[in-house]
Amino acid sequence: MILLATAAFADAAVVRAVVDRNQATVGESIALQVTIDGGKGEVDLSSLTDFKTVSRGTSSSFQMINGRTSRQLIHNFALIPLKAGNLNIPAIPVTIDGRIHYTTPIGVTIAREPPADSGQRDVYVTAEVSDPSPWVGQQMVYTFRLFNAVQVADAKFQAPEFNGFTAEEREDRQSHRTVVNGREFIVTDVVFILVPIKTGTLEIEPAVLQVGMLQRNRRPRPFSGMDAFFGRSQMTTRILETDPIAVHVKDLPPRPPGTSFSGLVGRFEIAASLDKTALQVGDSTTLTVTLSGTGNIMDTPEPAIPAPAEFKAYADNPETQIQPGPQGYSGNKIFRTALVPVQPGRYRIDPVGLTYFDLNTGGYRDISTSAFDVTVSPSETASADIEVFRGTPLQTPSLKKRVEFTGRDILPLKEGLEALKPQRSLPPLWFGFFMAIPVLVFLAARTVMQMAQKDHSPGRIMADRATQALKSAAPDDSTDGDFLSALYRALVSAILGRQGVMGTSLTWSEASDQLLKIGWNAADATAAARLLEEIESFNYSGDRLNEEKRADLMGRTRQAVRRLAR
Amino acid sequence: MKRSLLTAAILALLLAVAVTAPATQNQNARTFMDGTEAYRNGDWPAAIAAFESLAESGVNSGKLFYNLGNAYLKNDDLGRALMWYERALKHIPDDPDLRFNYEYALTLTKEERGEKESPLLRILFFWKYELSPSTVGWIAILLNAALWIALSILVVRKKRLLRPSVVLTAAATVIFCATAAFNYVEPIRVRYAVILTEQAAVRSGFTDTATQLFVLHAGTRVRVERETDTRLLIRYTEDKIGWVKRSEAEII
Repeated sequence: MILLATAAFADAAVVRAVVDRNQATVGESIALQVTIDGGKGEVDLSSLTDFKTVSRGTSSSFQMINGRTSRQLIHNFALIPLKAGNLNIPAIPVTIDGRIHYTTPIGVTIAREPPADSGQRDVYVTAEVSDPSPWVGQQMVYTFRLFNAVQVADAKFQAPEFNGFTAEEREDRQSHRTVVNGREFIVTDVVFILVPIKTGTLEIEPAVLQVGMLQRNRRPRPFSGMDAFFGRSQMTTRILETDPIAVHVKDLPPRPPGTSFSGLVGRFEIAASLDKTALQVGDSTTLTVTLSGTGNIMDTPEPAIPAPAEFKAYADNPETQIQPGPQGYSGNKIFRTALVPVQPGRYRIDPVGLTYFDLNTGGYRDISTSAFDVTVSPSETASADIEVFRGTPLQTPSLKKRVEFTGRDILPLKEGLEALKPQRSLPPLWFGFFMAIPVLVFLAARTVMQMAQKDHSPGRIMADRATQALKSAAPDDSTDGDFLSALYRALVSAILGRQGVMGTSLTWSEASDQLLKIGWNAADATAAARLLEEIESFNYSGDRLNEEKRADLMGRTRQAVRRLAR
Repeated sequence: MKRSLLTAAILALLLAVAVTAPATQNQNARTFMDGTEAYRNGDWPAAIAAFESLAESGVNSGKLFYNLGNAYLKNDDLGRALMWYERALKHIPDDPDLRFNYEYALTLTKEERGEKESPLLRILFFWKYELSPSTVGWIAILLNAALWIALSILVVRKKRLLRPSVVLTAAATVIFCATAAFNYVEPIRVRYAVILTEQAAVRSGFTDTATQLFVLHAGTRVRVERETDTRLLIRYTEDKIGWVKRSEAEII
């Protein structure tokens, strides 16, 4: 049956929702199409809480009616009802260009499925466990079965979590045919071997299988008569779930006093063999202990070998041959131990024993091997010392055992109050700051050093000399000779320094020329040259200088030196 | 008058800070000891409450986070245990107790690591994995200072003998500076989260009815690609990506 719902809003008639049928059973899928006329839109299915929704992609089509073209965008979904009853597909919001349009709600009737053993279902699944009340550690078989009377495809299996169990799937999935209520089904088994590790009531969650089923088209389409003729069909998706299974795991009864329980639960036998019973000192013989049976045989601990104190024992890595079968794990585990006598004599190797929990009797059972009598004679080679036999470095590694955990737990708390000391990370800004400090210090130091470096050019030296000479002329108690010599040195040094040459004397004409060269006007150059000549003449004439003249000469010389220093 | 009032106010403020800071420290110490006592007595929820109140009050310590991981692990909350161990690893990656307990907790997870770190990278860049970001930062700062001091000596003394040591110091400085910079950038660019709930459905969209793509279990570490107010877009492996509820995973 086709149900066509037009859009609720009269202005648009742009969106509509269509389902391929409005009656189905739980687990069957219903095809939903949301059609948008003339544009793109976002379909929001979050309000469909009674269904699991699976997108089936989009398709588009063009129509031309009376010369006008229109475009349709169709969003396809598969709806899988999650419960039985009269369910409602509410108005689905579709956002087109920022405006929300709604489809019309659709009602669908979902019926419960007929019983699995009625044979009326085309496809169904079951799950069972081999023992709903196992002992803790007892292996059990969980079997998931798919019954299909019609062709299925694209099966996707989601196993339960098996919380509280260790689980391993048997690799071979087998199929066979069976008849249920007169109808033939193909049955596919998926088998897990479970071992409960907790006691109490444990629930195995439903296993889920999603399958595609080929069905004839139910929707009328253009040329549907041709579909019928060609027998066309379409794929529908079904989600199948098993019922949850409650497993009551029993704790093992208290152990009898004095027994050492191996942890094995199942049915086991033990046997042993010794390859040589007559030995010489230093020879080795191999004791082979074989444990076989059904149960958690892989967990068998290494048995204690009751070798006499005059024997050295070297255990080899155990060999396991375990296969998962219809009843769970079965096989054997072989322990080989090399025994080396160090003293001659007659010895007895006691039986190797083991205690396990027997499922047949529901109690603990002790099993043991037979004892062996061994005769050890002195070594024929006189030099054969047991110390030599003990060990070349090449043999030792094969005899050493790998240390295994005998128990697992975490290391204790950190109880010191330093645990409260906050560990603040260095902020990036501070990191950059600390990184920049040495660079800045380096650059600053280098700049200062460059600035502090002395200028050793002739001009600088002569200018310094001029300054020094002026300073030495300044004291009032200097003799006239010293005073005049200092003024002469200051003036000559200043003139030569300005030229960038070294020297100690100048004639007045040379001084005048030098000053003209550096840009002084003729009057100033002549005045400075005359000052030089005047100083020189006072110096050589020996006339005494009064204070007024000293001040005059000093002032004029200082003025000239300062001008030259600029 | 005004100046004396201001002085009195500043003194009162300093006194208040001086009095309240030790009081807070004492309170924290008491809470911490209560937590360790509860842990010793097997009262894991009480230990968790005590340690978590310290963490929420701003105590940012790798050892405290380690204790929280232990308490959660004992309380059979594998997801939160691994989340706190991961947080502790950021502070004290070289702590042997932490590494042992973390490795043990990893054996209890149901999934194997999605994004596996290359063992070769761990060998080549061992300092990145063995030293905390803070330690790497300080080493970079010290090396940088040593480098510029050596350069200064080289400039002043002009001794050729110093040049090889300067080159070596420069190389070490570059390596540690680059690592420190990477450590600053990495948490911003790459974030991880840990699945907290027993199992979390990773879906193709924001709604609970969106298709379930795959399921992750408690303790699995995933990379966070994007986040909204209610959901995280997570990547388990290159080909497994989807949305989980924020309540089901927490960013490390």
